[in-house]
Amino acid sequence: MSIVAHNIEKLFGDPPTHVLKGINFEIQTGEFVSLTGRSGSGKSTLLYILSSLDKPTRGDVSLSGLSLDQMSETDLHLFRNQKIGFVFQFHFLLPELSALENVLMPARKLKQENEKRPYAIDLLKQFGLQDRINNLPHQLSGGEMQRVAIARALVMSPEFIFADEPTGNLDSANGELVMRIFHDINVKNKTTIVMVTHDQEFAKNASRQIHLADGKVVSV
Amino acid sequence: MLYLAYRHLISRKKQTLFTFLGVFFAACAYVVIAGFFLGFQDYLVDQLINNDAHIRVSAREEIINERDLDRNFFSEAKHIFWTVPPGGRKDETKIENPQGWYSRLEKDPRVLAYSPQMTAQVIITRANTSTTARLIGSDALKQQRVTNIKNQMKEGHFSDIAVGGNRVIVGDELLAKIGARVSETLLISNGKNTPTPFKIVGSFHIGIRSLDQGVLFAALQDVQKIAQATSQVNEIAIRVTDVENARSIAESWAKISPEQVQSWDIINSNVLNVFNIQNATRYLVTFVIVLVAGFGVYNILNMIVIQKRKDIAILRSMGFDQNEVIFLFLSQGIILGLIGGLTGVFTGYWICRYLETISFGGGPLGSGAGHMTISFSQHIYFYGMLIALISSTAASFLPARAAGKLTPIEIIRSGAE
Repeated sequence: MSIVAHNIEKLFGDPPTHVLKGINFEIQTGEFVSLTGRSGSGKSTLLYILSSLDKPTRGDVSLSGLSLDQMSETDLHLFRNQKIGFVFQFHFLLPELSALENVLMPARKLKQENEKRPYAIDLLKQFGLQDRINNLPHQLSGGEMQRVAIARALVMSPEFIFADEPTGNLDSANGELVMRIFHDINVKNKTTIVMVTHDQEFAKNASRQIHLADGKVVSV
Repeated sequence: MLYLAYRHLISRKKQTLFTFLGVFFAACAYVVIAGFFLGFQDYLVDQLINNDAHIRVSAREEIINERDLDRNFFSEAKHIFWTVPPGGRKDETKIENPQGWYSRLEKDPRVLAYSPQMTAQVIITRANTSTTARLIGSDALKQQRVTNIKNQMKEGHFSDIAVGGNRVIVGDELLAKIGARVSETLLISNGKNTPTPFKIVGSFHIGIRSLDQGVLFAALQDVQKIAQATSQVNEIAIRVTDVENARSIAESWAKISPEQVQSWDIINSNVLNVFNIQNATRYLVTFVIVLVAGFGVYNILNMIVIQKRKDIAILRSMGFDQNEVIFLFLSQGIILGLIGGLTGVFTGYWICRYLETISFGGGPLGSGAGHMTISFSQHIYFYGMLIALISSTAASFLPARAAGKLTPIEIIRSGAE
């Protein structure tokens, strides 16, 4: 199993609000899964728990057979760096760095930037950004910035991509382009993708939908 | 992370420039202020150490008490009553056992040189002009080894008085004050005897006004004649191998001799007390400088951390840990501290070089070095750099730690954009 969520619960605030209630599911390696649900259903919270950015109040998540709860902080950071790629609704590019430098940023943690440079350039070319390699983020359009963010998520050849509303800030043409890229990554690299979206059209691109309502999985 | 820190700095030119200027001015101001104060102190200490003895042995001025003369007059009597009890001060003050001192000083390896002296307050007269001064009688060759007087001669040679024969070397300001010139004759008297003619064979300029306008040197035996104290000395000037030990040596000798034994720092304690006030002022100014520079760095970095919340979130999601995020911001403070400190002390050095050329306290009757004395001690530059580094590092630590504590999920949930 690629991702196993076991009895995940999440409470927020005081008095506590039960955001996630007993979530259990499994995702196979190479699956493309969309997390859907209405606003406030807990889909983003679940994504961040699955991706190790947040911790559940109860329950456990395993990625590639490794329990996140059992990992040390150091191992968790390395795991995140090497095995996980994130794409957010906002691109979160570092404004001081060019498109290429942003893509290579994860590789800098392990000083692999020179080794990964040809691959990073190749990714940018694949995403139609060959003329934007040395541009700073403010010199790029919204769609271009999101494509750079996806290239950054892919540069370490991760096993998992976690995407939170990756098309939320894009027009329909750019949204479709991003979805096509995700589809290609999933097919070519067998990368497991978990994507939060409230757009049913984009959700249909995934091989499976996990639908949440009021913090519970309604359909898997 | 150093790479990203560098890119952060160059992308925010205005903020970086202002932070840099704060550290730069702090380091520069410290170097100039410390250079000025310590230069002045070094000059004065140098003057005190090289122009006078490191240790001075002086005869005690003995006060006569009611019972002091009992045995001199009535050695057999048991009960002595004075109608008018004796009082006052002994007429002559002399070192009781100078030979004992010479023997002790010659055997002591800590002693470099010593010079027995006879010092007397005299009235000097030239034509119709009279003034009082201090006449120091010494063995010229020994005196030259104890002080730096040989190098401070303006005219003639200090050894010219060695042969005696009523020759005198006069401070240049005293010479100007009485309107005399070298090779002329002065009349010198201790106020009790007939004035004796002394030939001026040279003049000196030490740079301490009290000496330049109030001291004359002559041969020991000539002064003994003036003071009517043949074969007596009332002071021994001593130079030791290590001036740092002067005080402890003086204290050890004071315990075993009836004479007053004082080291140079005790004799000049009033001057050294002024140094303490100066140092306190310098430390206060340094503290204010560090505080101002530190607050500059703190404010700007704090603002940057708030502005960079989403960058921190994405870095953490890429696997960069808390320490790497702390390092990202801390290193910006350290880089600014290093560059600001280096350029600050470098500029401070050149300002000090310029200050050194400014005329100060010179002139024909003036004293002092003739220009501002600035210290270029390596310690000043080392501490200047240290102040720049510590203030910027300490000031960037709090914002950096705050950045390190941010978790990506908090930033993402708060919708940082």
